[in-house]
Amino acid sequence: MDHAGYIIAAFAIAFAVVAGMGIGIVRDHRALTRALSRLSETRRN
Amino acid sequence: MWKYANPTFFLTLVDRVLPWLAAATAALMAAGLYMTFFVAPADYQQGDAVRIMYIHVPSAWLSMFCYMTMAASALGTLVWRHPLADAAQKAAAPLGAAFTFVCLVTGSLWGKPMWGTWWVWDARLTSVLVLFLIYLGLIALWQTIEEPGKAARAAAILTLVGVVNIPIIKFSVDWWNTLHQPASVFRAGGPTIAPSMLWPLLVMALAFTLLFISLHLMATRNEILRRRLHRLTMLAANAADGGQADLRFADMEV
Amino acid sequence: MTRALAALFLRDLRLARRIGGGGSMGVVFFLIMVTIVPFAIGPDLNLLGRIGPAILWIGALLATLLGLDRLFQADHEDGSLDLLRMADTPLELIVLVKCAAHWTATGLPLALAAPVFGVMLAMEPQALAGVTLSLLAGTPALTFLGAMGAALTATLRRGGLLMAILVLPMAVPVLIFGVSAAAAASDAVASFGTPFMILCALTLLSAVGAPFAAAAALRSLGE
Repeated sequence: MDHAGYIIAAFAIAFAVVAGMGIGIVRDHRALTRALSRLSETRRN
Repeated sequence: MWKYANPTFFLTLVDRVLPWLAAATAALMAAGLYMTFFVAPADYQQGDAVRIMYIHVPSAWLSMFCYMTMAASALGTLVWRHPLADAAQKAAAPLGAAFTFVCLVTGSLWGKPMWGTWWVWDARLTSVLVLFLIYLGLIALWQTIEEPGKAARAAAILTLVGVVNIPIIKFSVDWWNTLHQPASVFRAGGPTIAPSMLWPLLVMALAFTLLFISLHLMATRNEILRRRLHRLTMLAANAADGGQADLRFADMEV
Repeated sequence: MTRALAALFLRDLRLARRIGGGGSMGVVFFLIMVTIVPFAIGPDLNLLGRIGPAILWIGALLATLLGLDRLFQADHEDGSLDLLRMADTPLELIVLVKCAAHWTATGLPLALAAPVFGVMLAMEPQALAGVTLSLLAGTPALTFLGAMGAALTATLRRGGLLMAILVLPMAVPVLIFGVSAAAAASDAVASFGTPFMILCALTLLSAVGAPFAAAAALRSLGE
């Protein structure tokens, strides 16, 4: 495969950026649900 | 229609739809990648480097699609003042910036072996760069205005101004480019693309679109939860110190 | 209503003159921009003459933007923005008049100073005329676009940098056609008319559109 370096770099960067977004969103979601459940617990007490 | 726009209903809908959507995205992405590397032929001029096209073109398409999503949500914010539209708008901006960035980087990595340079001030590259700057401006605006409702309206106005302005920018950059015709050998994107290359491209475009929709739904859900958390924290603080706390956000229907 | 608008126009002009944030400071900044460029690229008069229109346009763009962040912010701080918002006069017209006053206080002096500074950049007389005309026709568009950014960032404590980030990408078309018209004036082949007409069209379009966007922003941020 000619220009393999460029092709690998392009696909790697593209998927790294997208995966970074995805991981960030999932982490954010976990933190938010945890904070929400903690808040509702303190309310019940 | 309003039933679907209810944030609580939206949350349950997302929870139900998301697994299917993620599975479809993964399957299509796998198929698309397989086709990209093993089915699609190498270009007779560009060789294997043409395979970069299969991520470059879909991300270019998404950079536009995301802006259209954002503009539609901006209308929802300004006309109906709907919190779901605010959340959708806020969630779309970083995604749009990310896909535009991918488009620029892959274009650069494609250009280096083909044109011998990382960057040319070609009309398309330049207008995508300006679009990227507009996305960054929107993100900066979101981060600077603290109150979510105000930030949403400000971003909505800027987004809609961009809808009018982006075609003008595109036109003027094209004009500027023909004025200073660069020495690059970039041919005006041939519409005569062979079917053996078109199919992988379409599959990848669909996979990227589904990926964007899944990420956008997840991010919108996050924004709704964030607002809810904000409101509940306000209410809790208010209950704790006997009604003295700032209740500006409390009446927001979230 | 006309009298109220005229009073507003005069008030803004007076404020610009007394506070000094208006015309004179913009022109001084413009002069500094023109002075700095030869230090960066060297005192080659041929090169300077060739890129002169571009230098003058970039200088005008930055000078216009730097003064604009106070357009609504000062009124927001002393409360007069609330009065303007509640007045019977449509907010869109108020924005238009404020833009006109701001342009008279900053944009017009910039355009008039441009030929003087152009001489320092060894530009030909024709190019000087071209750049002055294009600045006269194009700087109002910059003011209107900037007013939109100023309205969006009026309530923020440090809105200046954000405003530049929001407005500069939108100002790309104005810059392209402004510099093209200015450069075409001294070029035998290129036509001056086409880019100049498009530049005028951009100014008119922004004069119609920007007041609505800015007024919408002021209303929604003030709530």
